Amino acid sequence: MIKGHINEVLPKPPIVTVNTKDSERLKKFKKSIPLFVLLLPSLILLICFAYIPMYGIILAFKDYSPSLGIWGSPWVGFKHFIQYFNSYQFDITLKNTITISLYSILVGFPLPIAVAILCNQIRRQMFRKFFQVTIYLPHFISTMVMCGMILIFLSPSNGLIANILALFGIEMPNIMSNPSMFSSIYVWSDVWQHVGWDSIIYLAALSTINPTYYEAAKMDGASRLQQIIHIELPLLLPTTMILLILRAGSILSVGFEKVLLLQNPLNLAGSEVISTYVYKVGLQSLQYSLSTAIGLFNTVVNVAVLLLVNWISKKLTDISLF
Amino acid sequence: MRKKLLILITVLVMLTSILSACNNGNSQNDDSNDDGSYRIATVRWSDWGDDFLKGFVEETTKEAGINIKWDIYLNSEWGDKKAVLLAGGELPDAFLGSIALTDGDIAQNQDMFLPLEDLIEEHMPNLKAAFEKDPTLRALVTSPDGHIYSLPKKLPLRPKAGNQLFINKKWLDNLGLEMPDTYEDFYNVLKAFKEQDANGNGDPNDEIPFGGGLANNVFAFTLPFGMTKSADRAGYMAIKDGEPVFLPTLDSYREGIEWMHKAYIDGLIDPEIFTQDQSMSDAKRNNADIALVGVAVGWTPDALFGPNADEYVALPALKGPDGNRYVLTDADTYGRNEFVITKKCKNPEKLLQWVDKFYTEDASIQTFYGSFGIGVEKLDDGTYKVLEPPAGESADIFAWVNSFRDFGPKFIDEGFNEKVDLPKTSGDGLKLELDKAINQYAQDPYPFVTYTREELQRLNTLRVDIDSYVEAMQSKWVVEGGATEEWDSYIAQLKQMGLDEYMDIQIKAFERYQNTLKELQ
Amino acid sequence: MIFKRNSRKSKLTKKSWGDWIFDVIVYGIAILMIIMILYPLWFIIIASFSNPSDIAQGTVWLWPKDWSFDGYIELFKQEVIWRGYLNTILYTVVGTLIALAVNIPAGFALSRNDLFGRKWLTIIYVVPMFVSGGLVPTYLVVKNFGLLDTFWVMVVPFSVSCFNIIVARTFFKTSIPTDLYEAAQIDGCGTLRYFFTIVLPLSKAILAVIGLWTAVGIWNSWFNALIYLNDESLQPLQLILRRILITNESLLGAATGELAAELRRLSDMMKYAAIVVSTAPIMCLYPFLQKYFNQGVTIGALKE
Repeated sequence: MIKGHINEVLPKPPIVTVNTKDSERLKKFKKSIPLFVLLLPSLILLICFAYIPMYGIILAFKDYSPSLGIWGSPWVGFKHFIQYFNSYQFDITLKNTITISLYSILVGFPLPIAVAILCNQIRRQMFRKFFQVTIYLPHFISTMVMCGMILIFLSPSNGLIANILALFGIEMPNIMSNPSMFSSIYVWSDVWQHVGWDSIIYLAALSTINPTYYEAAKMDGASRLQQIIHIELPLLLPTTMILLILRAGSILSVGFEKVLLLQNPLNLAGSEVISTYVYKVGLQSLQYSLSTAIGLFNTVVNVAVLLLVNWISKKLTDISLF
Repeated sequence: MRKKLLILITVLVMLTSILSACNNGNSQNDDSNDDGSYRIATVRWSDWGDDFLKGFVEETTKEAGINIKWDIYLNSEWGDKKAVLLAGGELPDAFLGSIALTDGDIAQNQDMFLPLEDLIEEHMPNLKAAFEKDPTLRALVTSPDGHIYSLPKKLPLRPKAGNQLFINKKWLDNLGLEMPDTYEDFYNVLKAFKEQDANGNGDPNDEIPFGGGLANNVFAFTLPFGMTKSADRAGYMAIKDGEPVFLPTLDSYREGIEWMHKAYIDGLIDPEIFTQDQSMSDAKRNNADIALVGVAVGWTPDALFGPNADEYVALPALKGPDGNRYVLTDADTYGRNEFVITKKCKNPEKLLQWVDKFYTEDASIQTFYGSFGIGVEKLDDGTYKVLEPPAGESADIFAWVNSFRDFGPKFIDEGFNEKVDLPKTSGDGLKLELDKAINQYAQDPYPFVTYTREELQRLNTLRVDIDSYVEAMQSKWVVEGGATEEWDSYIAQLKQMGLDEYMDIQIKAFERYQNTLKELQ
Repeated sequence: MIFKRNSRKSKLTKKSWGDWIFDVIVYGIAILMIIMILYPLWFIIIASFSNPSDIAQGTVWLWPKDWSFDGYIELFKQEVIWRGYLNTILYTVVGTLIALAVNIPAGFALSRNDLFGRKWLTIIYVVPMFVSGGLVPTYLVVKNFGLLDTFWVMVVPFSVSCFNIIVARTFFKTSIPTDLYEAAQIDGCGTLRYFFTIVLPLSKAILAVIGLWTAVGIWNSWFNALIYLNDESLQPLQLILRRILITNESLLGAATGELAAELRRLSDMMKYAAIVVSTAPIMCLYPFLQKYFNQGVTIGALKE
C-alpha cells in the first residue's frame, strides 16, 4: 500500500532511449566476438590476397607498360573501354557470351537438382552407389580431352552419331560448322560432363531433411511423387536460390579454353566470346590494360545481373544473398 | 570458461602459423653479375633436357670468362609466365630466342631493353662483318627510332620456298594419269581421285582428293591464283609489283575462292576441312591400312603422311590463270629478337662479346644441329658433315635436343649450304632437295619491316578483328559460295573495321624499311 | 472389422502399385543415364590403350585397336611424375584441412542472425567473387609476402573460397535449428563451444561436400603452381602432366615440319592415359565420403 502510494507521489523516471540503443548495440557486438574469432582467418587472408591486389583495377584506366610500372604508366581514362565498345567484335562476343550463359543456366541449372532427387529415390544401395560414382566421373575429364572427344563423336564422316544415324539412312550434317548449333553443343556437353558432380550439393541438402516429414506425409497418404513436390522441393529452395543467384553473377564469365578448342572459322559467328577475344588480342602482345578494362566491364555487368536476380529472389521466395 | 580459452588458443595458434608461414619464404636471391655471371631466359617448344647447353655453349662461355645461369621455360606456359616476369620485376639479364619475346613485347617495353648499336660497333666484330656482307640483316633489326634493340639471325640450310603441296603418285599411276601441270589439270586429277578407286582397295568412295594439311589449306589450294602467303608474322600481307598488298582484298583472291568453292561442291575437298582438329586431320593422312588423302600441304611427306610417305611426291608449281607459277614462301631464313639485353644487365659488353661468337659459320651450324661430335662434324677441307641421329630417333628431334635449332643468333654467308653434307632422304636434306624443284618460282617473302610502338598496338587490335572476319568469310565462301555476290559488302565491312588504317601503317613501315635498306647498301 | 482390414489392405496394394511404377521410372532413367555416361568413359579407357591415329579416325568403338601401353609407358617414364604425385597428395591433404578450418567457421558465423554487422560482412565476402585485381598485382602481393616458390603458397593464400563460404552459410541456416542454440545457451554453452561440440558433428554433410570440392579443386590445379612455383621439386602432378602433354596444337604456335608431327603424336598418345592416371586416386576418395550424402545420418544424431 505504501509502495503504491509512493508511486503515485514520486514522478516516474524518464525512459532512457538513447543509451539503451547504444548499449544494445554494444551488447550485440560483445556477443559477436566469438563469431568474429571464427571469421578472422578468412578475413585476414581475404584482405591480404583479394582486397589488396584490387588496386590493379586502375590499370583499366591507364596505358600499362611493365617498364614504367603500375604507378608510372600514364592515365588514359576510358580509352580502352571505348576501343572495346567500338570494336567490330563487341556486339558478337557480348551476344554469344550471354546466349551461352543463359542457355547454360536454363538447361544446366535444374538438371542437377532433378538428378539429386532421382538419386535419392534409388533404394537399392549397391545400385545407388554405382550410379553415383558413374555420373561423377565425367567431371574429371580435362577440357582438352573433352573437346577432342566431342569433335570425334560429332564428325559427320566417321563419328559415333554419324554412324548411328547412317543405320537409319540419315546423313549427318556437319553441326560443328553451324554457328547456331554452337551454344547447344557447348551447353549439352557441359551438362553431360558436370550434371553428376553438380548434384552433390543438392544430395547433401536432401540428406539433412528430417525423416519425420516423410513419415507424416506417408501417414497422410502422399505418393512418392507428392512427397518430392511438397517436401523436397521446398526444402531445397534456399540452396537452389543461393546457387542460382551466384550463377547469375557469372553470366559474362564463359570460360575460354573449351570455346577456343571447339571454335573453327565456320562457327565463329556463334562461338566468339569475350574471353576468347581477349585471349586473341593478348596473343600478339601483352595488352594488359585492355584485358583489365574488359574484365572490369564484365564485373560491372555480372554484379548488376547478380543484384537483379538477388532482388527478384528476395521478392519471390524471401531468400537472398544479402 | 576453460574450454573457451582452449578454443581461443587453438585459433590463435592457427593464426600465428598462417602468419609465420607468410614470412617463411626464402628471399629471392639477387643475381649480381659482379662475378661475371649472367641470367639468361630462353624458351623451348618442349622439355628436352639441357643437352643443348653443353658442348659449344659451355666451351664458349668458358672462353669468354663468363658464367651463365639459364632459366628454361616451356612455350605452352610461357604466355602466362611472361606477364608476371615482365611486370614482377624479376627480369633476367637477357632473353635468347625469338620465341621468347615478340615485336610487340619489345616495342611496348622499350625502356626495359638496352639499345645495342654502339655496343655492336665496339664489341661485336663478327656481327659487324655480317652486317657488311648482308645489309638485310641490319635493316631488319633497326627500329623506326634508329636504334637496335635485338640481334638478328640467318639460318643455314633453309629452303627458299616453304610448305608445299604433295600428291599421291601411286594414285596417279593407278589411274593412268599424268602429273598435272596447270591448275585445270590439277582440278581434273582431283576429280578422277574422287570418282574412281584411286587407292585400289575396291571402294571408289573413300578417297579424300584434297585433305587438310599442316599449313594454311586455303592459300595452298589457291596458289595458282597468286596467293603467295608469307609466314604468320606477316599475316596476309604480300608484295605484288613491288608494293605491299593485303591478299584477301585482291580480285585474284576472289577468283581463287570461287574456284575452291567449285571444287568443294564437286566433293574434291574434305568436307570437314574447317571443322576438324589437328588430330583428326593427321589421322586421315596417317591412316595405316590404306592411303586416304590425295593431296595435302606440308613440309615433307614424312611429316604429313607418316607410314604412307613413300606414295607421295612433290606437286610441281602449277600454272595459274595468269600464266605464272607460284609457291608459298612461309619459311623464314632471317629473323630478329634472337637476343635482347635488359636494363638489369651490368657489364653487357662481356656478354655481347660472348654472343658475337655465335655469328660464325662454325657456331651457326653447331647451334643448328648440335655441337661438333654430336650433331655435326667439321672436316679438314672446311666442309661440314651432319651426323646421323642414333638409331630410332628422328633427326629433327635430335637436333632440337642438342641445339637452339631455329633460335638464337646465327649467320651464314652465301654459298654456305653447299659446304654442308647432309643426308638427302630425310629432314633438312630432303627439304632442300624438294625445294630445288620449285624455288625458281619463289618470290621474296614479305620483308621484315619494323613498327613503332603505336603502330604495333593499332595493328594488333585491328588484326584481331580483320583476320577473324577474313577467315570467317573465307571458309563460308568455300563451303557455301557467294564470294562474288558479297564481295562489295565484304570490302566495305573491312574498310569499316579499319582496313585503310591497317594498310596505311603497313605501307609506311614498308617504305621506311626500303629506305633503311637503301641507306645501308 | 473385416471392412476396415480390407480397406487397409487395399490401401497398401494401391500404394505398392503407384510405388512400383514410380520405381520403374526412377530406375529406368537411372539406367539410361548410366549408359549415356558410361560409354564415353569406356571410350577414354580403351582409347588410352589404342593408337591415336585410329582414335581420331573414329574406328575405335568397343575395344582398343592396336593394343599398346605406350601412352602409359611414356607417361611413367618421366620420373618427375612420382614427385608430382607426392606433391599433389601433400597439397591436397594439407590444403583441404586448412581450407575447411578457414571456410567452415566463416560460413557458420555468417549464418548467425545475431552477428554484428552481418550485412556488411556478407558483402565483404561476396565482392571478391566478382572483383579481382588481376594476375600481376596478386603476384606482386604474394611475392612481397615472401611466398614465392614455397610449399605454403599452394595451400594458404588462396584457401579462402567465398563461394564455399556462402554455400556453407546456406547449409547452416537451413539445417541447424535456431532453438538448438538457445537450448545450448541454457546449458551454459558459449558460442565457440557450441560450434565445435554441437554444430560440427551435425554438419558432416556440408563438411564432406566442401571438403570434396576443395580436395578436387586442389588436386586438379596447375595454374597457381605455374605462376608461383619455379622450383621443380615443388610442382604438382597436373602441372607436370600438362607440361608433358604439351598443350593443344592450336596453342603450340608455329612449330613446323617433323617437329610438329612428332610433338602431336606424343601428346595424343598420352592424353587419354593421363586422365586415367590423374583421376584414379581421387576416385578412390569418393567412396569414403559417399555415406555422408545419404539420408538419416545427421538427423539421426540430432535425435539422440
